[in-house]
Formats: sequence, structure tokens, C-alpha cells
Amino acid sequence: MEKRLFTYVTLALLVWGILGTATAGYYLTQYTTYQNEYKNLLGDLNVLVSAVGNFSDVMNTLSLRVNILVSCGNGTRVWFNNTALPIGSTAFTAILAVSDVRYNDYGGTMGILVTSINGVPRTGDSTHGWFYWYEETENSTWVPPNYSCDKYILHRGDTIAFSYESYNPWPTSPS
Amino acid sequence: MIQPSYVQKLEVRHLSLFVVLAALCLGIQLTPRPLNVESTSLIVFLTGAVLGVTFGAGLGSLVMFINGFLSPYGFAGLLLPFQMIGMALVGVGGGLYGRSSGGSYDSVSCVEAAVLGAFLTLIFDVLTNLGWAVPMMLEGQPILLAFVSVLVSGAFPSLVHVVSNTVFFGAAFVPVTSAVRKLLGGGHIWKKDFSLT
Repeated sequence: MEKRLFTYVTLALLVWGILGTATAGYYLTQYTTYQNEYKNLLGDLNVLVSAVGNFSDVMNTLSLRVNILVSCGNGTRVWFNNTALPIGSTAFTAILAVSDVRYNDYGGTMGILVTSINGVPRTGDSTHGWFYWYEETENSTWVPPNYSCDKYILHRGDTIAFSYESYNPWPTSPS
Repeated sequence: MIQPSYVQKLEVRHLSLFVVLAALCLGIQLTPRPLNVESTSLIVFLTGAVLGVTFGAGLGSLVMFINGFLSPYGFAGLLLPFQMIGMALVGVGGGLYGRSSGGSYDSVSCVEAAVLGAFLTLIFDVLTNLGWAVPMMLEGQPILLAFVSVLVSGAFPSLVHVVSNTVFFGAAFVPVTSAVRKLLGGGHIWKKDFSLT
């Protein structure tokens, strides 16, 4: 009986030892890989800093600042001015960065439809929905793009608005 | 007809069970499932424990041979012989365990089966990892380096495989083996009773 017990305990320890060693090896290689990537990135950043001048200039080259208006339709208007976002951000990632957003992703060319921002609407509403606009700087007019907000790539200094509006009449600007 | 002494008597019910279990194993192998979660090892192990080493090893290698061609992951290629040997060893392990326990199992057997399940699964994984390392060796990489790198990169799938099989073996081996033994059981289950009533 003791010999049998010894055999099984040994087998269990052997399995534990081999698996544990392999798993530790796996995490060691992961650690080494990510550490090397981090070092390479840091090296590239230092090269960039030395080329551009200082760190804040580098950050400015890698990011953009936009103004975001969120209007809940009941008179509540909140501005998020000078919001810093990574280059390549879209109107959708911008609203994601400043609000609690619910959305449906229809994929492909349809893209994302924002269904709720900061809990508005609380329940489903077939007469109202979330619209978005960007402001044309030349003549300060709001322009509604005819595509999803995840397709609108932001530019430096852009001003965008998300507003909860009625479908009838079709809104021409954020309330 | 007089048979030579080395020809063993092959019972039809054993062969029937073998074929049914082979079909079951193949069905499980070819069914979509989470990676490395399988019950083929358990069935091969219990076949070995119930029907003997030859049946266990035979079932393991047969299932892996067919799986190597029909697997949804594609033709196994160089991996095929390693998988066949690995699963045959699971059957051999079951046969030896069945012989050592004399066919009687208790609650301790659940723990023993779980440990053996973990051990044999690890052996299977190490062998198949060796199969993965062969092409790297053929490309000129040092044998040990190729094997260790494959073993390390496959550590997580192996962990899933070993843990799931430990649970399967511990929970299912004893009850399923008892059920199969009852099914194979006495002649009264299989023979028609021609006595007049």
C-alpha cells in the first residue's frame, strides 16, 4: 500500500514539475519578448525626443486635441474642450473617451450606431436617437456626415457634437 | 478445427465493444470542441483497463491514425506516428492499471486514475511536441533547442489538456468502467435462454 502511494505521489509530483517548468519557461520567454519590445520602443522614443526637442513636443506630434459637445436633448450640454486623443482617433473613439457609451456594431460599411450616451435614453425610444456632427471651421456650421461615427477620422482642432434628437423633423444641428 | 495454442480466443462481445468505442472516439475527435479538451484518452485508457493492453493500445493507435487524416485541423503529417504512439501508451497504461488493480475499484481508484490520467496525458503531449520539433530539427536546429522551444511554447495548451484529463479520469473512470464491466458481464446478458418453461 505504501509503495503504491509512493508511486502515485511521485507521478503527480513529476507531472507538476514538468508542467510547472514548461509554464514557467513560457512566461519567461513572454517576459523576455515584451522586455525587448519595451526597450526597442524606449530607444525609438529617445531618438524621437532628441530629434524633435522635448517630450511634450513628441506627445503633441503623436496626439491631437479636439472639442466634443454632448447634448442630451433636454437642455443639458456638456463640452469636453481640448480633449487629447491619439492620432487616427475617430468620432466614436472620442465619445468613448469622454462618456459612458452603448452601441451596436453592424460591421462592414454600416459601422457603429451609438444607442446611448451617459444613460440617455434609459429605455428604448423609437422617436429619438443619437446624431453626430462636425463643425466646419470656415463658416462655423454643423455638418452631419452620412456615415457612421467610427468612420469619421478626427483632425487637429476638430469640433464634434453628439446630440440626442427627434427623427421628426430631421435635425440640422445639435440642440 | 484444432487451433494452434498461440491463437487466442477472441470474444465477439469484446470486438463489438472495441468497434463501438473506436467509433465513439472518432466521433469525439472530429467534433468541434475547445482545443485540447478531449475524452478519447479516457476511453482508450478504460478500454485498456477492461479489455487488456492489446485492445487499449490498438484502439489508441487506430483512433489517432484515422484522426490524423480526417482531423478538422488537417492532415497530421509527421505528427501522426507520435500521436499514434502517444495514444497507444495511454491504452497500455490503462491495461497495466487494470491488471494491477485486478478489476476492482474503490474511491482511492478515482485519485489513482486522475494521477495516471495526468501522467499519461503529459507523456502524450511530450511525444506530440517531439513530433512538432522534428521539422525544426530537419531544418538544422539543434535537437534539444527545438524540443525545448516547442515544449515551452506549447505549455499552456498542455496545461489545459492535463488539467481537463485529470478531472475526466478522476470523475469518470471508475463509474464508466463499472458500467462497461456490467455490460460485458455474465453470459446471461448475451446468451438467449432456450430452456423450456
